Amino acid sequence: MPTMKLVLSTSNVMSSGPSLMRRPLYSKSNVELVNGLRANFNLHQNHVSPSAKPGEAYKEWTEQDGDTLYIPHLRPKTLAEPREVYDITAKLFYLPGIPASRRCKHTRDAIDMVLKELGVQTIDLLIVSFPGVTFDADDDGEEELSADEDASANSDESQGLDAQVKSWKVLEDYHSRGIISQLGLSEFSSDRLDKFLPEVSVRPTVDQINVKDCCVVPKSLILYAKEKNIELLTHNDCMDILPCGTTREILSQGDGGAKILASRADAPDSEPGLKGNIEPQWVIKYTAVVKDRGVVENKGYYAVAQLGDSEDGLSSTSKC
Amino acid sequence: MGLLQLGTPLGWDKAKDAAGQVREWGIEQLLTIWRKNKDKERAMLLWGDEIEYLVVELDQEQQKARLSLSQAEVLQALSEDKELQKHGPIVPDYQGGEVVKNQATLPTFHPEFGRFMLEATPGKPWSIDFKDLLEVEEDMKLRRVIAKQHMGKGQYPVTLTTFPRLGTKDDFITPYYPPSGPALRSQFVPDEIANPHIRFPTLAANIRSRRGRKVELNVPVFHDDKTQWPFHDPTVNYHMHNWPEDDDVRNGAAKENCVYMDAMAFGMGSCCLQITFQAKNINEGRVLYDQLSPLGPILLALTAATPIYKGFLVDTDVRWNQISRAVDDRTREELGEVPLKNDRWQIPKSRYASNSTYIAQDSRLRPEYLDPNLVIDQKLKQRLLDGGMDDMLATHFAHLFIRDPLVIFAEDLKELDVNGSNHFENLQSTNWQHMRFKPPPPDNPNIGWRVEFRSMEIQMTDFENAAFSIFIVLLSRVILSFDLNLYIPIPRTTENMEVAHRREAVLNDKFWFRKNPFPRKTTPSPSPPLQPQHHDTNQTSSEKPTVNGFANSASGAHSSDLPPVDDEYCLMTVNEIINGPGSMAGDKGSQFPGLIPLVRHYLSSLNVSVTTRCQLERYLDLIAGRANGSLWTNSKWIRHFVREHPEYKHDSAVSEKVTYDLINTVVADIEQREDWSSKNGAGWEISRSLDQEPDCIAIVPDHPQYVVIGTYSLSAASDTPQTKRGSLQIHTYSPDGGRDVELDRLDFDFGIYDLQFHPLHHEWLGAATSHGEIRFYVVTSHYDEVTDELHSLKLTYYWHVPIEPHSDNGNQAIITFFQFLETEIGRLPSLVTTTQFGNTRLVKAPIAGATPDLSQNIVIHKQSMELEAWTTVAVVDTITNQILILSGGDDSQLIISSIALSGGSYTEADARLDLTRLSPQKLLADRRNHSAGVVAIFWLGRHPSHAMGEGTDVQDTPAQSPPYLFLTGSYDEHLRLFLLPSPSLHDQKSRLETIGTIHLEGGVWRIILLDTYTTEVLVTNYILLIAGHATGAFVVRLTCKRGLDDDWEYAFKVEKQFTEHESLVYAVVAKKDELVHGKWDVISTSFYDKKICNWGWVDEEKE
Repeated sequence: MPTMKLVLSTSNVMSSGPSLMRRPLYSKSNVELVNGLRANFNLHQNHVSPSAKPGEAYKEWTEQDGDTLYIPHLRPKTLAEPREVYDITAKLFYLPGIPASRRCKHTRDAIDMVLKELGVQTIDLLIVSFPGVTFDADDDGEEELSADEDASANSDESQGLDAQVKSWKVLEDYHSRGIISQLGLSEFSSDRLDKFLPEVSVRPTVDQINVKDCCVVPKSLILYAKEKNIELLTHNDCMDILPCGTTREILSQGDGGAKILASRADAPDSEPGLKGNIEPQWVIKYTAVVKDRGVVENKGYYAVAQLGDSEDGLSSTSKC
Repeated sequence: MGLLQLGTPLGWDKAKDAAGQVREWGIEQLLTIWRKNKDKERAMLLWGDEIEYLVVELDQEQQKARLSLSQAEVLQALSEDKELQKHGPIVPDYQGGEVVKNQATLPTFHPEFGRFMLEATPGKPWSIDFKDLLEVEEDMKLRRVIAKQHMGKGQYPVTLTTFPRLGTKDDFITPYYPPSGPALRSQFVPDEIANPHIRFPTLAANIRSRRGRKVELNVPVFHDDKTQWPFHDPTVNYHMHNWPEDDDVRNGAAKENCVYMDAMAFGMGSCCLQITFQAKNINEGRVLYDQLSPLGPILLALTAATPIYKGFLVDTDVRWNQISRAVDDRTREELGEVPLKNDRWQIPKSRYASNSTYIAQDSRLRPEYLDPNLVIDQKLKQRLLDGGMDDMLATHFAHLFIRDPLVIFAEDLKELDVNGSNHFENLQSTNWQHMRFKPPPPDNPNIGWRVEFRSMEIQMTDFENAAFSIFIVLLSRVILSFDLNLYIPIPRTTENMEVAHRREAVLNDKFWFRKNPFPRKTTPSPSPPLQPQHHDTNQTSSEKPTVNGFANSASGAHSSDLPPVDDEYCLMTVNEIINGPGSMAGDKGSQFPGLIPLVRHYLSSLNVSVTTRCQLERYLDLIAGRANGSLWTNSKWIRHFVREHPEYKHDSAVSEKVTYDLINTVVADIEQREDWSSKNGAGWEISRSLDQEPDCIAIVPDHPQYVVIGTYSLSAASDTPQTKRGSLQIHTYSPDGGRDVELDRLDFDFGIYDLQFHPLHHEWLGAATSHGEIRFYVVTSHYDEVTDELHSLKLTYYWHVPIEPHSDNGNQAIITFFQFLETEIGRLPSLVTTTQFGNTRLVKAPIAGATPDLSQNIVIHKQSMELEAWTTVAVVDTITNQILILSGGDDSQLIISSIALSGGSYTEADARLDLTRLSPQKLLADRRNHSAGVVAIFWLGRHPSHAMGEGTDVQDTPAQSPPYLFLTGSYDEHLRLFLLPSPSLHDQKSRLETIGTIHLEGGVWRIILLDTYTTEVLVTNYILLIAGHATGAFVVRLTCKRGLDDDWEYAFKVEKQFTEHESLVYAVVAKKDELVHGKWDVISTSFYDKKICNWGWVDEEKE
């Protein structure tokens, strides 16, 4: 079966209010992402002409370009004011179970999407989130942590230091070309930073810590970050930002689904919708804030999933 | 207010005739300003706060607080301060001149209406930069400090909304002036109460003249148990005949069951917290004006701080309506009391009132939201329309301009300066609505369109004032970022404003509020599916594109497509509005997500540093706590203070003494209580410094507002022998509490290692020294003969007990720790103690004066290799009739010994017990559980399963005594929980097992039990305060929970880590906060940096 690339977008989630704010409030960003996608898809489905063939309706509001399906079709909105008044931040989530070898391409794709979406040439800060990296304030500096880390690194190369450093090289390239001004990491403990920093040439200037820990950041990390000129910022994202079951669900035929995918990978031909395994590849979040006024003008997500078997034939656990 | 502008003010008879001219000229000036600035685009958000103070003088001798009429003197002193002047003018109204941009970072001070008032603002406006936000609180504190420095002796800047005894019969002001002057004609306050600048007396007099009688404020009195009922304000004088207005009270001005007041000062003498924002452009300003308007009453209720007027507790909580009435210049005709004859219209609201207009050019603004009873001046509106202004804004100003100008200077009437703003401002600035839309001033091209949020009450502490200021700023950003729609009909906001006055409205009342603040979901539309966003106006630059460029459904839609306006809003509690739907709300009820969750969501969309976010959370926690009732409003606190005061007679009257104590408490504890209402107490973290290194601390039992601190100083000169020094120092518990009390200090050539007050003999203070002895001191209190107030606390040497003989080479042992034994044998100060030489000793100290009897000092056991013994605890187990002695040392060993008490229960053994006849037996020496020195042991007592009172099914027999719990702290950075199965241990040499542990980075040096209680069935909570050695202090919660099948679960949780220390923390102490339920006021000290830190923690889980 040929593979297909699905590009999912939320558009601006700031003004899509109610779906976004439905409880659990102030929770994980996957709620924001998933609800943002749903809201955006629903909005477009509402405008489908009544005459559309069942199972084909999505074609009215999506756009296929070769083997890429844009859900919905791309309608980039440029920013209202000149570029320099904005602070543009993007956060790229590499997803668990995806081979690190794909990250180079994923990174390029993701950054291109954001630049296009906002109509800009540069991003002020790009933060990457590596799978399997979670900062637990209580464990910082504990011996067990590194032991666990090694264990997991052995079991999954995509979560090891080597893979992280390799992924970082791609970003360094963007940095050297002036497209990204600053690079950042997410959820790195001082131990992790200490191993990571000597391996890279462009140092991160930011490390994001989950907001729930913002008042209990260990002194060791605070001191370390200060010494290395790394700013500790807060975030409110969850690790498993886009599980594949969720992806299928929001694209499926069910109630509230986008009615694009079949309900199962191996659904019979009689069932409407695209068939095949679905495997989320990466997610990028972007935010454009008017610096001097503290107004968030645009915030949204792109997520890319692969439909059908992957070209490199690697079996991964993140498929369904 | 342009105070420098002087002229000849017109009396009301003349001013009345010039009113029309001033209005017309004002409108011309407005048109000029509007034309010049309507296209102005200012990129930046700038904002400012205004803090207003009462100047109060505390007379300690007479125990009396008076309002000090010293505004002019204070401002004079400020403006003449050479140091301050280096930073630019500090009192711009006195010194004139522009504040130099980016230079004047010091706050500035301004006169206010009351001669007892002072206003302070930041020296330059704040930006949205988070660094600025975090400076606000510090700046407010600085303002208070600077103000205080320029006040006379005994004078304080106090941020209470009103002075509780303003207008009482006694000399409530200083200097004193009698009431009944020509300008105010008040029977309660003199004319001198107002700022003498001609503007103010004229304003007051003309309001009175226009009105045709004095202003009239009747506030329902608080009906307390012994309040005379019906209540007739006993301070009203019905027999005064100085002025025609003295007839007012004879004509029924004073209402039954109300406190009656009759002058502008009772209202305009209130302190407010006002926030002004600069908008990006006129449109953003108009949007913010509208969207913030429904929040006015909510924030008024949240900041409620005004429960007392003229010496009586009243039945309302806020100031608003009193100010409204204090400047109500409406005639009887305008009020609708008599038919219209000379006046043009009836006017429903005072000049000071909730606002009556919406002004945004916003497609979401439905006509139904507007005030149907809005009065406007049609002629002036037409002039504005003709001048090109849109209908909405023209209506707004034509409404403000229905009023008469109150203060007119004759000089201003000669010629219209069309480029000025004096006539416009004359009307604009005497329309005191809860929102104000401010055009740019013509003389400063750098300032843009601004919106002022005016409803909040001033709060007692700068922490609170900063919290509310920053909350409003963040809300304004949330409104713009999420494009929130908070519109409700204006009359509902007017109603809300009334509701906000009710006592405890913040918790008990409901307010009209919009259910869904987000754009409505679009419904399928037959028209072309993709429709570009379309707004009514062409001012699109300020509008954010909505989802995908779809029109938001209200846009351009006919009202008939929309649900009825009344379905858009409902009654909500402040808690629902602030914190969002609780778990009870389920899916029905309002969809309103809560302002705090919205602010948090907004913050999570920005790059905010961990420290900033943590700081901002403190502020949000305050607001959230006020809304959910876990924190009190100032009003509730003041009311509570009065009603709990021993001198209060429950008759609503607030006496001079109560007022003095109230103000004294507010002033004295302002810093201590700097966040008395801050939930997690992350707030007041204030540090003091000592001259020597502190390592132990104890609260003085009879005077818990004082502590004794023991210090130990080593001189480290390389070529001389180490010399030890130390001291005992009495300090106040809070950094600035207990002024004027003389506190003693003793210095020694040895160090103090540990301090304990004797549990029975409170005045005995034991101090462990580096000289191998424990010394006893007595703390004596001395009182002033006249005032009977505490005058001094003295430390007097009493006697000492040698503990450890010096070593063979003459070294003296440091006594590392000691503990008095339980009360049963406390008739002599028996104690257990540990020493540097590794000994754990039981000592029966002789009474004072007797020769020390060294035989009554026995070694219980010894640490290995004679490494330091660090800590010990002794427990008398009356069931097995033994004393258990636990100790820990530098060798990582935990040793438990037992002393069997033969014959009779121990309690009968009394003081004659001869220690030499006891034979300690070592039960176990555990070195498996700790990987470094054991430095703290805390005995928790019986296991909860055998807690007293519950043990009906458990027989406590000598054979089976209950299991015990104890804690240890170690250099290995763990706090551990142990279960001692049964202390009849000599039968079963069991191994000691850790049943719970938590890693506390930096180590655990001391453990204090603050509290223990049961939360739900069978969950026992122990609240522990930990001196965390290298990383500060911790509050840790230990829970012991019985599972279904009698399994017990033990869990530790760090409730708070205090990290401000930069050196080793050896000593902690805490006491319950008197003001905030569940709050602990903690002191922790750190060694090399010699710091004492005060901080707080609130136990939220305790009922």
